[in-house]
Amino acid sequence: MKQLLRLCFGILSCLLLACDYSPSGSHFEEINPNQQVLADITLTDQQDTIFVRGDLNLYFNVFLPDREYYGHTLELGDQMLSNGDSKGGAYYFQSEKYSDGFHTLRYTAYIRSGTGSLADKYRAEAIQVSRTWVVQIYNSAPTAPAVTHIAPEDGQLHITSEPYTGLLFKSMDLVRQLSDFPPHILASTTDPNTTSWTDDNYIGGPVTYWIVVHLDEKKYSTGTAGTAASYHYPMPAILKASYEVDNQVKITFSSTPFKSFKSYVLSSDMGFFETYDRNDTVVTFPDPGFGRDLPSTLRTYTKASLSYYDNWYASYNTIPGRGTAWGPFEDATILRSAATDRFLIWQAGTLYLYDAAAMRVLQQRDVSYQSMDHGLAKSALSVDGRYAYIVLNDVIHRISPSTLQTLETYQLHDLLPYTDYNSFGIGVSNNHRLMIAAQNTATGMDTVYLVDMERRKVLTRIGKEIGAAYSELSSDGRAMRVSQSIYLEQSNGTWQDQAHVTQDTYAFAFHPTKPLYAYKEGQKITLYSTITGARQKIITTEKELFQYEIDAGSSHLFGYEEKMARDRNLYVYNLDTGQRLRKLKLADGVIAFVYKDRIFSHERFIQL
Amino acid sequence: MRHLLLTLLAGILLTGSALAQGGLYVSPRLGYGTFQMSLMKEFQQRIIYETQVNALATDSFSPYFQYGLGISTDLTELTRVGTFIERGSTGGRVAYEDYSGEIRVDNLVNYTAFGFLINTRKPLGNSGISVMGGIEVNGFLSRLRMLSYSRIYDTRDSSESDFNSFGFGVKPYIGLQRPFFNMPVELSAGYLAGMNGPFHLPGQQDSYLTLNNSDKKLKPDWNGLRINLTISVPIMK
Repeated sequence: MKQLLRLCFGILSCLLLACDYSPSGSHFEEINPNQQVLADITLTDQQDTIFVRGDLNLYFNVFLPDREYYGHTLELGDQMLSNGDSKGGAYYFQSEKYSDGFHTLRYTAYIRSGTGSLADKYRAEAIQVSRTWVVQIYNSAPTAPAVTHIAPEDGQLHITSEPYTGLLFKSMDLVRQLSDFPPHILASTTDPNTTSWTDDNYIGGPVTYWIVVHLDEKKYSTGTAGTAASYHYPMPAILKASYEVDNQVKITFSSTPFKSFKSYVLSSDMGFFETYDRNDTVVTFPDPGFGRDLPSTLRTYTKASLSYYDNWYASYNTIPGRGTAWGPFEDATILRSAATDRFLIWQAGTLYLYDAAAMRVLQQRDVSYQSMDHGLAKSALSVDGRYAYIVLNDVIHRISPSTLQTLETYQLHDLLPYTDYNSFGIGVSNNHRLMIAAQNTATGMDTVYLVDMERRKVLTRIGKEIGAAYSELSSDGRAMRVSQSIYLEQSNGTWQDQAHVTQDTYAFAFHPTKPLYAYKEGQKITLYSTITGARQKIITTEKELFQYEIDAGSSHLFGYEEKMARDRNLYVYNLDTGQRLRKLKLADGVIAFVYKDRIFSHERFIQL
Repeated sequence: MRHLLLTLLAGILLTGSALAQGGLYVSPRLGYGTFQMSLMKEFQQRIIYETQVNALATDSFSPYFQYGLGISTDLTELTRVGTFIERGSTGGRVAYEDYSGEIRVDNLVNYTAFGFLINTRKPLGNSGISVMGGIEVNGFLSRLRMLSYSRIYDTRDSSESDFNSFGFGVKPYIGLQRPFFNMPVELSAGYLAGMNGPFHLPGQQDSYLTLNNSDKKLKPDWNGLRINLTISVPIMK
């Protein structure tokens, strides 16, 4: 029974775990995986090697007849440029994103395999058809050749440069920048291996050359410059100038060895010199006169142009005038006090106190006004140097002759009874008498006042028709020139016109240290006493002096004749003997004065 | 489903033992039969079409064994009644392979049947051999397991689905019986005819399989010849 039950349950469990039917069949089909593919992939307007600089449009033509198209990839090296379902007909290639050099461009088309296999039916199998091209990318900036060597050879400059070794060469230029001329193209070539150039119109001066290379492309369209090199041969210039016998000026200048030389031209106030001889480099000019430095220009002309505009190079020099330099005080009023050895110089808007012994500026004051107004003097210094006055903005300032600072100021109405004047000039004497020569253009009546500054009292007034404003006070305060008349103070306080008849305002001059005045008639100069009015002496001058003066320091009379500015001579006479002490040729436009033992111009002085 | 069967089996045994007057037999049985499965074969053709390639139905619901166990008792000396459960299976395969991959769709069908049988015998002479004839009536719990597997190059995909179906069958049969070692052995041949409902998702009878996009339902068809060998082991006398 037990066995039966065991049998039952055994069979039962077999039943439940019975071997169900298990299929075991298989079916293999021989399918040929190989396919013949008819295909062609090309790029419009490109060959197997593509040269790219910048951006390029690539147009692909994909010919795959009777084939279902799955998609494409476009790769440059191992970078994916584009991929997708479409045929990818055009691609905008930006070559600057990639390095220069050779790359492989691969276009791969994926098409249905068409083998009939399981994978093919389920579109999981594709055939890859690709085409490669070589792409040469060249985006680099052009390396322009450097200029390596410059040397003179056979009277010309020979320039050596490196050849151009890159791609896309179109042309290159040799550019020259000479002295301070603008740079210009000296030569051009279309041969990239050119290394030797000649500059046949160099004559000297600092010069720099460089090469500019032009490529056959758009990016660097203005050209790229290479490393420059410089050379310098001194330009012809004045080497030295010296004063020779009879004040002749001998000038020596340097020469140029270069073939392009045509001529030298030396021009200055002294004269004009031209030569076509390269070695003719010494010039002697006659006496140019005293008083001024002599700016000179040496021009060297070349046979061809140095730049677009010029075929000459200029060297500028200033040849110093004779004597010693001082100042300069051009266009200045120089009032001199021989007793204290001081000059009061008013130049432009600045007042200077000058020590004439040490020859230096002691004080300086900015006054911002001019020293002359239509010929009316706005400054005055007494001959003994004790009183100094200036007029600023119609206000009379008494200034200290040692510090130039204002001590007192006077309005016209403080000193004069009537003040309706356009302008006035001043003069001051050793006894502190102030002459105020006032101009009234409305009435035409000019009036000259003499004011005693100690007592603040008008001593006299002389009214005249126009021209009285141009007047002068003697150093002792007892004589005045009012326009073309001389007035002497009499013992009773009146002023007497000496009744000289002349139209020449410059006929008269006061002696600064003696009670004398001088009256010129042609070449005759007569000295009169300012006390008695009597004639004292006559001297004769070689030529009629246009303007003359008597120096307080030396008591010499000096003046210059009426002539063109470049032909003037300064004549100096000893008043005691009447002897001519000096006839000095003056340089163009120079006005000189005698002071003690020297003759001064605005920038030079020499011994008398 | 199995629990139900076990409970049923236990019930049958106990009832049987209670009812037995005469002998009570436990009868394991082995059968071999053919299956019509016409709709399943059509289903395979449909699968072949769907693969888009030249797939072949390498296995097409070929004849196979059935296993069963019954409990029977003698009503009279020559009549026996009993109950049984039986398991049968078969299957079909659609296969294709080429250099690029393979496709395999297996439709494994099996059933668990339980039913009643009744037969009579008539002894022939003295040899102990009897001629017998009977009829079986059973219900079917069928199951379809669809296994599909595909590979394209190295990409694999597989899936598995189960469907159920209910039905019933009737099998008349004739045969010979001869006792061996006091255990009657029967060899019979018969024809099973039945009707089955469509394969549907387990638990959802409204979600049934159809053959294609039409309304033709997919049903198993266990009809076919059967040959059976049964050994009745007496457990009570």
